[in-house]
Amino acid sequence: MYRDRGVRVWAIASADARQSDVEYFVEALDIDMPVFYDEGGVVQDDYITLASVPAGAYPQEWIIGTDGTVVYHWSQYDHDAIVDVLESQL
Amino acid sequence: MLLLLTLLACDDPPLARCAAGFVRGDNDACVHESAAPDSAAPEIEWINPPEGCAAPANLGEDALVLTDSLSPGDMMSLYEMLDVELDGTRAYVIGQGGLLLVDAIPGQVSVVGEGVGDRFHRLEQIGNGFLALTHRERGLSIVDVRNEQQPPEVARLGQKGWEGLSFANDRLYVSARDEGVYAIDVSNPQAPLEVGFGAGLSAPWELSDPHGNWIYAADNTLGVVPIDLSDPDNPAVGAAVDLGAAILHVTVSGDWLYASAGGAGIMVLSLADPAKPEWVLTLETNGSAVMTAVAENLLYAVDHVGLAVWDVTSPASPLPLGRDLSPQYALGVAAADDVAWVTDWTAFEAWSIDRTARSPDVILSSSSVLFPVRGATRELTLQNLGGGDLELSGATVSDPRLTVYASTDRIAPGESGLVQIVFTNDEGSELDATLCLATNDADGPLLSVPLATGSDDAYIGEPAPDFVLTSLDGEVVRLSEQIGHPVMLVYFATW
Repeated sequence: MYRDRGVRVWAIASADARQSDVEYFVEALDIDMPVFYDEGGVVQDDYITLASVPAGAYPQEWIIGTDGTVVYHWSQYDHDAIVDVLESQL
Repeated sequence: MLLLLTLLACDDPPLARCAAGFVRGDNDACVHESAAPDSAAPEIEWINPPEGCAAPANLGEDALVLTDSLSPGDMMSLYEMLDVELDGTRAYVIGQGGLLLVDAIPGQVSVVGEGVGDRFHRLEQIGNGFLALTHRERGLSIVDVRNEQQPPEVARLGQKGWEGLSFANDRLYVSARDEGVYAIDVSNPQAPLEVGFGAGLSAPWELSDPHGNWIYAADNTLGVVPIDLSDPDNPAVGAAVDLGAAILHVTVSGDWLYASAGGAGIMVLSLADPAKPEWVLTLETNGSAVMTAVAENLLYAVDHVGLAVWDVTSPASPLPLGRDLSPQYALGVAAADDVAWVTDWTAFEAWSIDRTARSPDVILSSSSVLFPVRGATRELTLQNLGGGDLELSGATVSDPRLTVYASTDRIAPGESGLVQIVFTNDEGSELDATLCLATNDADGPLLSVPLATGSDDAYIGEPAPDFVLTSLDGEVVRLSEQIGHPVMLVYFATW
């Protein structure tokens, strides 16, 4: 998929859960991409969650372009929009 | 959200299914049906569902009903319950935390005993009141369950990598990663003895129950592997059947084999020639198929997200009875007398099956919908994974700026329909509304979907804040070092 074309796909678990819970979750679902635990909510503080219902809507996707700026930020999985953005960056 | 992570994580094995509403496109990616270039779907004629959201009066019987649940408050803390075996009204359950003995009587499910502690992945009954367990790090343990309250471990054998178990001909067969299958004499369970070995397995997760002189390995890399036990102390590993997917579990029943293949579903194979299992058909699962069980002509499957049941009286034509989401992550199942016993992460559940019910089971493609403030049209897919027709009997939206349409008001078993929500927002103000859908799904006739506006504009074009994180595998990454590559961050929660 897009990883073969150089896109880094990183899953970051919100620090709402314990790290051990995240590990169980990742192993049980056999998630195959790098998973990071947002210890101390450091990433969450910088990447402020979308203000909408439900509060702290999950999952949220951010796409950072090849130049280091944010090019996409949304919640839910809008497949078409994500594909369009990734294609425009490659 | 589970769907998103599964989609992102998949490396598209040949037989992987696309999610509901998506089809395989030209470049092998999953594309939304509406974008598929040669989609054979005719132009949709949108209809207005009847106004109103009330449960129909005549809901009918549900084929699958959760009747009992034992949870951490009732028993020792067990996570990740991976395997379960039944012996009459006794259930043995293992997971991270040890071994649990349960009275498996619907209406009176209760814990009888707990023991051993630690982290196991498979269990097998070896008769005379003893169990064989395989440990994550250590290999085989033999446990004496004649002491029901606190069953002790009485013997150990083997090493890490020993996982799958099968009991046949008074021998315990254990699969070993990167090796093959060991034959263990357990006639004296307190002193298990390795008596034979057959090479030729790669990443075996489980061994089936015996089928004549054969057992079958579920091998992640090789597929379904027949093992000839004509000479019980010399298991002979035969030619693997490559099904193009990682096989996680196998169940045999009569002349049929059911292979759980994760995202590829459940592969049904004929054992007319036991040395050469032959693929006949594949049953789709909602999530990742990890275990099946067969009892009294019913096939039960768990797939992380829930339980699905088919009537396999005609094994070449399985008839779906129903499918329900379980509260947590369903990883193990055993069944008898039209009751499925499901290990659902930290809960042990009894599900009662009504094999005459033909009830629909609706799954929505998304549990909430976000709109940009400028207005947009969004679609939800309704999939019917049950055994009877799904009827959409009404819909309401709580905001006058929203209009709802449906592609159909009746969805046959196995089919999908679409609900289209149009948000027109001339004033440009926020949306905080709810869509209500009424169906004849007895588990939950009223579906409530939050609809809201979100704003993506604030961060676009700004430099992404840098961070350093260490992955669960120990890989350290810094965002700013990825310059030149697009980075997609998926921020998620485990609930």
